[in-house]
Amino acid sequence: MGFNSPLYYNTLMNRLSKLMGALTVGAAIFFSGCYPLDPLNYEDLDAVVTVKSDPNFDFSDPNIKTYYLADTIIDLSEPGNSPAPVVDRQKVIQDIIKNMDMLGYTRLTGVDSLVANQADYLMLLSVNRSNNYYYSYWYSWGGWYGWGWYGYYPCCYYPPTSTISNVRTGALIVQLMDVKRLGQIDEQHLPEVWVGVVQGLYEGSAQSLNQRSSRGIDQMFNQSPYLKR
Amino acid sequence: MKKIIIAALLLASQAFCLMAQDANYTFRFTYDVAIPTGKFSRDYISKMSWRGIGFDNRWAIAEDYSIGFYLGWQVFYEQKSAVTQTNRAGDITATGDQFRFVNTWPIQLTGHKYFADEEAETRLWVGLAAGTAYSQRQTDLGLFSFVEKDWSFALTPTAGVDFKIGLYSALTMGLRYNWTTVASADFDYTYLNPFLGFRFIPN
Repeated sequence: MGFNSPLYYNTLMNRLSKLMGALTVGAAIFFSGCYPLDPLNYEDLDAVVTVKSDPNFDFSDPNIKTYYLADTIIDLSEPGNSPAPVVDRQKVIQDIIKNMDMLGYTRLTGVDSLVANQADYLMLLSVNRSNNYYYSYWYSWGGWYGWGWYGYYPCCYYPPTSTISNVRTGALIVQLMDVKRLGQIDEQHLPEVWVGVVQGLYEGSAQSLNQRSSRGIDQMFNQSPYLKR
Repeated sequence: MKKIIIAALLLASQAFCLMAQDANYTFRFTYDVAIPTGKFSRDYISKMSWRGIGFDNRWAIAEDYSIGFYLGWQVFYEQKSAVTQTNRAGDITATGDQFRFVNTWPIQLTGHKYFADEEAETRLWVGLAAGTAYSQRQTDLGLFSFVEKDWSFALTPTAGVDFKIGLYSALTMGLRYNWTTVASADFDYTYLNPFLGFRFIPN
């Protein structure tokens, strides 16, 4: 049967028509979209987000000069169900202080709450580490049996393959509160005027996590030029 | 939306079986690449896409003219490093690597003019397609994902050439210019679309 013979083409068209049916099903599956990715490093998924929480707050007020930062980082992680802490907390605090110094603020120190009340900003630091478990399974295809045959071959049973994945994430949260309005706070309305978040995968060595954390803190203040004195 | 698309595809596959019996009918499968242009390239993805397919159906209505419809699928992707973006209100700023994806499916009616006989060894043609394109634009930043879905108007001038390789088949190649615009006009999915594939004449 020659390549150009009508019989060959009738056969070809018949097969192509069947193939179209299979392609239609395949296309329907893939119509949800194709999302190709290049190989990734952990830090490729780091993100830094800053928000002006109070749209009416005047960051340019020249009377704002000082802040109070306790030597404590609040841990929001679920006890017993979170990745172990690795990031150097003192380094985090030092990075924050360095950036606030560069922006022109003066840190008020002391453990007396009176000191905190004299500052213009109250700065709160918190961290959140999470385990995120994902369960998935799939059935193997029956295989490809050559031209003229498509679909699931009924002879064999392929048991499903299942996996459990844990995506460990971490976030560092920095909040600035307007101390002048601290007296007006209730549980629903904190006088937060600015918040910065460094978020990413909580993976890699301690050194790498510390570097990513420092880089994120620097970026948090770099992208908030309105905080500069 | 997915149900409509699946139903349309099933209908199209059945119609295809019937169309294959029509003597005036030809169809083309093409491998498409795409080069983003205009706002699409400037504001979102500039990287060339190597993932695309096209299915071009034509019916001869005169010796040198045909009408038909075109279905395509093009996938764009680009990773932009350390992008800082602020929202329009100016109160939220985000920095990180952005993973940008666009899946776009043109669905168009076509008309073509040919400059040689069907039997010619080399057959030049030009055409114009008009219709719509359904597009999904996804931006991943860190652990967040933002998805936009658009139906856009699509107008596509095309030029190509067929090289006969058999009694009922030909190699086809050419260039489309996909001009698509969304209603908000702040974005478009315009790209150049070189293609290479096969033309079949069902017998």
